[in-house]
Amino acid sequence: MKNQFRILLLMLITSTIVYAQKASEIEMDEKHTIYKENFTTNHNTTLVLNLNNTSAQVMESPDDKVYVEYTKEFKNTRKKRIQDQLKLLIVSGKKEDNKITYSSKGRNDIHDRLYSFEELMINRSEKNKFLKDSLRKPVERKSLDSVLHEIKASDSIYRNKLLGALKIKPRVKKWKKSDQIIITKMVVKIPRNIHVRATLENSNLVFMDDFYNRATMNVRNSKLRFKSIGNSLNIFDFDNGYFNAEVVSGGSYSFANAKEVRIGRLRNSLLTTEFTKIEIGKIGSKNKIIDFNSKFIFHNFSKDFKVLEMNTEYSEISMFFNKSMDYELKTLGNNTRHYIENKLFDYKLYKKNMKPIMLDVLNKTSETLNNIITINTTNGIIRISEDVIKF
Amino acid sequence: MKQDIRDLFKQEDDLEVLPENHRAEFLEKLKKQPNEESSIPWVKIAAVVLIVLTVGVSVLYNTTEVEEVSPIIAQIEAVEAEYLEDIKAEWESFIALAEDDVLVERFRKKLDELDLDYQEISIQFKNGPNNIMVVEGLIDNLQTRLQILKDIQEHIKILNQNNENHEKSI
Repeated sequence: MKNQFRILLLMLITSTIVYAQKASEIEMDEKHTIYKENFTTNHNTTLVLNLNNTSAQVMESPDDKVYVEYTKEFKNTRKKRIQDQLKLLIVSGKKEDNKITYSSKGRNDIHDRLYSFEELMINRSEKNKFLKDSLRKPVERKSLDSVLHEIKASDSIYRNKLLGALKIKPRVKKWKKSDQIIITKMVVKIPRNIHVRATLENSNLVFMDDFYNRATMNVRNSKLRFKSIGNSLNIFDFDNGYFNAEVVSGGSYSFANAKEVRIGRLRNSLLTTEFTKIEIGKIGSKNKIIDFNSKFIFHNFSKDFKVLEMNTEYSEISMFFNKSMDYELKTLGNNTRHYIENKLFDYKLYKKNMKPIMLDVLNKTSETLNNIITINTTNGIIRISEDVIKF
Repeated sequence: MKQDIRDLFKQEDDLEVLPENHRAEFLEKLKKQPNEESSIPWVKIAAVVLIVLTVGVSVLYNTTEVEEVSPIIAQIEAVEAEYLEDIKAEWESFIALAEDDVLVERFRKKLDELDLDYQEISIQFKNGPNNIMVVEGLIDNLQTRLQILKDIQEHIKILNQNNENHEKSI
């Protein structure tokens, strides 16, 4: 039975590869347009997206219209299966005054079904491995490019993990004409200047272009991937799931129980986090982080990040610094462990402006000091190093 | 029209003796009857095949559906039981270790929230057990609960380490 699922999983994987290739290379038997519509907008338009169990690509619109196109293509697929695939989709769109609402709910995709079974097996094997081996590996400093590469390749990394867990060697599959293929494609094109309000559940959205629209998003159990995202009015409430963005600049982002938050560059933003793992390629200017019990890794700081303020409780913060960088790091609070180059340092509490300072590191290579990191911490663990952090 | 049935038995007594060639006559009549049997076996065979095919296909389809769905549900149930057992053990270990009541209360609240989420996702799973995102949501939820409990214990252990090996005071 497991082998059967492996074969079918390969079908899924290869069908994804097909999707990545030019669709024209494979002649599909049937194409069904589930939904196709466009809506005119102006600066006051709000686009409301209600997506449940939906995967979509989001692009910048070439003009001032919102375009939505949702298609399913089939090859060598039984009629009944096609009907089953189509009847389980609930899609609607409408425009009322200046509000455009697009809703989509998918269910019961055959490929998803097979994939889920395999995924489940992997999760189990990971868990068993995890329970047996709880030792954490040292973390090496990553370059910004390396983090950006991981963000861009986050899907394929996930896929390789999947293949690795199943002991399947990635290979180039020769296509047979009899292979069954189902290609699902939803594309939403959004003009730059409209407000996007999205409620996403169990969904997977990839933003193909930079996204500077004002966005208010309520996201649950979903995967989001952005190139550059930024608007000072952004409000994100992200609960569980995976968030990858090459750049986050401006806005307020709340993450709870997120399994993976990976950001290339972070600037001018407020993060409110709890129970989340966060990795940031480069800390830019004027960020503030409020946290309870999350784990942070900051690989690099820009030369003029100016201010990083953190208010944390039971947080673990790992930071890499260049010796040539100008900065002052102050930690204030109590009961926090500090590790510098992997050596534990005790601290003396002393009062300064009524706040107990635990650690004050000053690295100054020039006369002016522009960069200050202030961490208010209770029951925290703070690690700083130049290249490797051991746990 | 009333009739005494005892009279009928008296009449039957007259038929006691059969003619001597009755058997030959019967076989002769039998041969003369039109031969309709030649097509009947084929009809029967066709009917049987049709029934077998119908039942077979029906069973096959039903079986296929059962085979596709039930391993997932069974797998989920097995995973769920395994995780919940581990989560319970980690929770007990955590409350034994933690001295901060506020922290314990915050974790209790978080775990309750995650459990509520799990119940909601479970309803979606029952409505469509084969959806990848829903199944992932269920597993992620269980993994998160287990992970945060293990992580906080590790965190507390580091905070509670004695200071014997400290490098120096800054």
